Amino acid sequence: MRQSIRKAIACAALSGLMLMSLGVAAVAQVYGGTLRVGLSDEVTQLDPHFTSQQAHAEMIARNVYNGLLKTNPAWEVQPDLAESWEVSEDGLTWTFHLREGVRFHNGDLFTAADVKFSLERLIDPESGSTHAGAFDPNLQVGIVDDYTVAVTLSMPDADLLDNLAAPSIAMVPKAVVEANGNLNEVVVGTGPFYLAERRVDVKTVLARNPEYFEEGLPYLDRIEYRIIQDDTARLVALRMGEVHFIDRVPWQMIDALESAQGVKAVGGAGINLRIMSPNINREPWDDPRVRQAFYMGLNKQEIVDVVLAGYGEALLGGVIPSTLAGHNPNACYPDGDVEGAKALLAEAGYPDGFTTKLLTFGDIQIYVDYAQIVREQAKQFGVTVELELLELGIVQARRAEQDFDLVGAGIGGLTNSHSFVANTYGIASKRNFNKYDDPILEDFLLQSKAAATQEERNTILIEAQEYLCTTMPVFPLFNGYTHWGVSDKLKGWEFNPGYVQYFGVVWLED
Amino acid sequence: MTFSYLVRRILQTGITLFLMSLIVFGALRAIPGDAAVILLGEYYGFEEVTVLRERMGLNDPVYVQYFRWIGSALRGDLGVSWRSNESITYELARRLPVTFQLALLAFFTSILIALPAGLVSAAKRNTWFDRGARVIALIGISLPNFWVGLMLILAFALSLRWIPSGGFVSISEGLGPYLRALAAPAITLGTAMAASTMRITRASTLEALSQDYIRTARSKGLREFTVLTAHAFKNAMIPILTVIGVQFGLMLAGSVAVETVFSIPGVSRFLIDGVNNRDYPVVMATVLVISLGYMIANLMVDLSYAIIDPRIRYE
Repeated sequence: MRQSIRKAIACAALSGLMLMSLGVAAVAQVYGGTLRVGLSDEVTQLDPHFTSQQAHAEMIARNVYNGLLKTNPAWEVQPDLAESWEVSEDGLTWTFHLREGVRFHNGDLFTAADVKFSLERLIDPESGSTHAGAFDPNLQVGIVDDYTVAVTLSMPDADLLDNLAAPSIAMVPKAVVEANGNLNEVVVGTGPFYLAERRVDVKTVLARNPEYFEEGLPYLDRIEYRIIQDDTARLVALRMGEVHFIDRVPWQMIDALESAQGVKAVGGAGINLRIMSPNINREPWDDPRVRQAFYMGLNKQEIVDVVLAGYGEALLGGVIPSTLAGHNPNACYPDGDVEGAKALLAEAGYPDGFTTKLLTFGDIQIYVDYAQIVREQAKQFGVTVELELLELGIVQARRAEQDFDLVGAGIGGLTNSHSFVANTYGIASKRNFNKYDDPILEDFLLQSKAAATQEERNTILIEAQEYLCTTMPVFPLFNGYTHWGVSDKLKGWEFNPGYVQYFGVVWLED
Repeated sequence: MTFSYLVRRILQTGITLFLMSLIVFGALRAIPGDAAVILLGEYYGFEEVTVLRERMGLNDPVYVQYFRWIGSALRGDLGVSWRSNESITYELARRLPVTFQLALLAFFTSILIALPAGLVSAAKRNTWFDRGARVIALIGISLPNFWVGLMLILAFALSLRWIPSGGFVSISEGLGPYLRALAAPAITLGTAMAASTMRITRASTLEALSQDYIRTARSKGLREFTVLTAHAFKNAMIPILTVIGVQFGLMLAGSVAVETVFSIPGVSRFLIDGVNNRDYPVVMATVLVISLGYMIANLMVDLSYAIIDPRIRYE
């Protein structure tokens, strides 16, 4: 069954690729026009260095600023303001060669001084930067000449390039930030668009930067982001042609979009994970066999099928989703193995099961939904799960105080594989909710952080996840798909697993 | 009405606002959970919490936080939003007119429906018109705003394409687009209000119609229409005005569903976004401004009593 599905997907992908190559040959890009985007939430932060997992803010940043590096829709690192780079033998010094002749929106030339200023601002939490944690705190930036910078680390970091390519890691104009304190009022970048108009809660308008350094880009004259909070109203606006692109299409509305003319729903695995943490300092969760049994007995695929109508992927081998390198393709255990769970529970001294409480967010529907299914599934292998569905603030407070048997959590906004494992299991992380403290895992994390190449790091991370299958301190459940509503008039846009949408290469057809 | 009465009422308003600020501030601080952690949401990043707590001033004792807040509020500075860093005074100054215009349009819509319907219902008591109007009013009270709003969007925007699917258009962009954008939200909000106004109009007119002076008026040979409008209705106005005043005040805060469904950047959406994001400075400021609006609406109602009924005097 699974084989045949894989084949079907492969065939579909292949024919899709062929069609795409034909399509690309046949269509010509069109200049001009205003792309109207319907967003579910306000962009509350314009300074890219202050964004805190607010994807909407990064969406603006990505179109207004450039980083040293960027990612393509497949999330591979590409040159941006840095044309090329090399690393020293010891992996500690990275030299970036900058693109020459790039100008900021205010006409100033972009140089190595801006890079030094931007990176130093980013790694300094005192500046208000919310991205300091992504970088080596001892990172040093040296100006070699106007168009060359040397970044020196205190230890090798396989994620440096990934982190530099994140949408918020923008190269900002030193002079403008020094004059204004931040980039919230005066917005100046090097990107394909500049900020033309902003009315909070109504719209944010970007206009074409005629001096943009990538020749012939962008195609659009303007991008207008409108805030339409209500899901149905956003869908109606798309169907009426008032907007060309909307975010957060709930799976319940996918059919309504598919059946309408001129629009479609496009989606796939994003970064939208749900996990559960057992309290490993309390009985019976202190016994790894109990944790293994519980995870083994849960049917993660069934949870996806019921909670998300199949629009998601079950996480069976660890916390890194299939969208990222470092994903463990091997399941820890057969999914939903009720007999195996019973046998292991009996071995651990709980032949008749036990009673536990699942604490989770009662005000976020997806947590309520999966909690109910977990309760039903656990009954089958003799575990009684009582639900504590409480308000967000209370759950977070109790989670921080270790006051739970089993607690629900989400993972989002991360873009590199190492941080998935480090944030969830590392003892230094505040998102290690049950204070799992394991020297073997810490060693894996050190190795992964210091790996010279991403391939090497990915191998280490897969090994780490294999190891975590045996200790099972956290129960990864599923990764929900993200869906976008897209007008047929919008061309050149490709789905990417992240939330940030780059409109520098898209165009509108009549 | 005397000047000293007005001064007294304004003083009362000031004291009430002060007490309100204490209660709201205390209640917000009593909510369990670390506001900085909550503000960062479901996926918060650990590096961010400490920085944010400091920036939000949450490391100071609560009374210091309160006095700092009230001090700047008295100078007209309601602080900045924790979430967006925008000035709240500036935000409110932009949103209040929007909500006020919506409330005013809804108010007229509701009066246009409720007063005639209530009067006719009372005059033709227990006829089919009366029963029909009361059933419709009951439905009007029962239907949730957001549902009515969505139905109007689906019917008039998606199917008929008469109106846009949402958004606010300033009157400076032309009366046509302005009314097209605000018609559906005003009707949604107005019909909900109309239902209770109609019921109170009917009840209060019925009571007036049973009074002796009505019999006198009728026996003078006045036309029934004149009896109804000039005698009964005028005397029935006081309870109607009270309800309308309260409703107008409520509309400043109660249009959340309508502002959300129709994407209107008003005060109540600001409040709800503030509540949802635990953006306490926004909640504080918005609650106080809405209370002030409510108190002003009530004061206007009280003052208008004296105009309608010369027997009422304020000392």
